[in-house]
Amino acid sequence: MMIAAFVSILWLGVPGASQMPALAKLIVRSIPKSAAIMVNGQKTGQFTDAQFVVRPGSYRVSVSSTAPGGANCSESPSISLNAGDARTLICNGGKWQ
Amino acid sequence: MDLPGLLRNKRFAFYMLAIIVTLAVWVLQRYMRAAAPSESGIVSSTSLNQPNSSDAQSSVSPANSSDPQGKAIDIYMIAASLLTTLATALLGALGYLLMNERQAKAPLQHRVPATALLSATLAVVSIYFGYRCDSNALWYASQGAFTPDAPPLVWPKIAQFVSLLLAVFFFTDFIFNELGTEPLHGEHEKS
Repeated sequence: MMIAAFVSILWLGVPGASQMPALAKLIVRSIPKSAAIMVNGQKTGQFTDAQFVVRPGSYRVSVSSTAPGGANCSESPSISLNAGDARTLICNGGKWQ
Repeated sequence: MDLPGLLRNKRFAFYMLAIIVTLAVWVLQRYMRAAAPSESGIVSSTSLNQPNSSDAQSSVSPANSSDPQGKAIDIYMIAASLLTTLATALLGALGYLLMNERQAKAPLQHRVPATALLSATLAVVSIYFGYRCDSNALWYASQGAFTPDAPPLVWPKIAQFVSLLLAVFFFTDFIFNELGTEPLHGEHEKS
């Protein structure tokens, strides 16, 4: 019984305790700044330059600005992020870099 | 297998409790991770346009926390550490009282009150979630993306606080209603 308790605590507790959050980071920049950011077709309420902590998955980013000369980039190709990934997207001249 | 007989065995019951608590905490953690705050998959966001904001690629050093994010990390970690210290102190106090009780005139005999056991269990759970707070805050700080309202930071902190609160509640119940009382059900100290 003692061994069962010890093993269960190790098996369940230690991996769970030692794991960092299963998250990724997405940084969105634009030239010029202050463009509204949308992720997966939804408004984020953030403006460039901003960073997002996201769950692993696929993301499509777009930025838009109503200001004259502001940055505008249509939806990016789908970006796949795994846990621990960090990706930077830069909107420059209407194109994603 | 005589299950009722086994359950009466206090050691068996204790280890069963340890396994059950471990499973419960594991399930709770899975729920915390699965709780999606938005359909877009975004957990938290930070603007990089704030004055004195850290570069996104550099890590935030709590030791040199003159910027708002560094201060937020400091406050978060201090609170988590304080709660962990309190939970540890509570465990120590419980152990001291239980040992003293065994030597007192009205010892608890072979029974550890359920309130003392619950209090100790919840204190241990609180310490564990304090460790989770520390791990998650470390990750966010290393990414330069610390936001106090991010779910991976909020939920462990709430769990840490609530479990400590319950531990104190049961500790108080143990103090006022169990400590120093005569044993029940005909258990008498042999003179």
